[in-house]
Amino acid sequence: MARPIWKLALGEEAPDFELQATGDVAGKGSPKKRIRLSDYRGKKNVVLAFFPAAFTPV
Amino acid sequence: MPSYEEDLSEFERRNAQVLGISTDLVHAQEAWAKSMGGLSYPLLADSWPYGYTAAQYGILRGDGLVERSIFVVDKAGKIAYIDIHEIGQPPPTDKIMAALDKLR
Repeated sequence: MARPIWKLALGEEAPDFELQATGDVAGKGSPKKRIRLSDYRGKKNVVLAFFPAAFTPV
Repeated sequence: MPSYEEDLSEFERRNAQVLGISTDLVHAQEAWAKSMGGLSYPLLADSWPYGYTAAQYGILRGDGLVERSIFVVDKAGKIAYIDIHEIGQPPPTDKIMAALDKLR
């Protein structure tokens, strides 16, 4: 398996991103929006759940 | 991915927002979520440039697949928990909750 170029470590600043997203609740037809990680700063903890592809079983 | 539905109130109680991220287009994500009856959190499209965000987090593999992984980011924007998982297995939720508990 190919290894990634680098890995992040605990305590490091999380790389910010702004991505196109479904609505606040995916799959319920709510309007699409853009979401930026730094919008949550000072407000909420964020759980980023990366997954390989849609239509995968888990 | 869908397994977090029943845990939603647990995330809310810990003042945590779940963001699902894949390299799919947002249309595909919306259709997928709909096929599961909808999710209580958004899905984000890391589709262009392909996997750019995943690469920044060090989880875009050489074969183009993204590792199934969890990053907890605290309110200060710092990484508080990392779990990079076998692609076929969902990351254990109890460990995510424990990581969030430490942040409160």
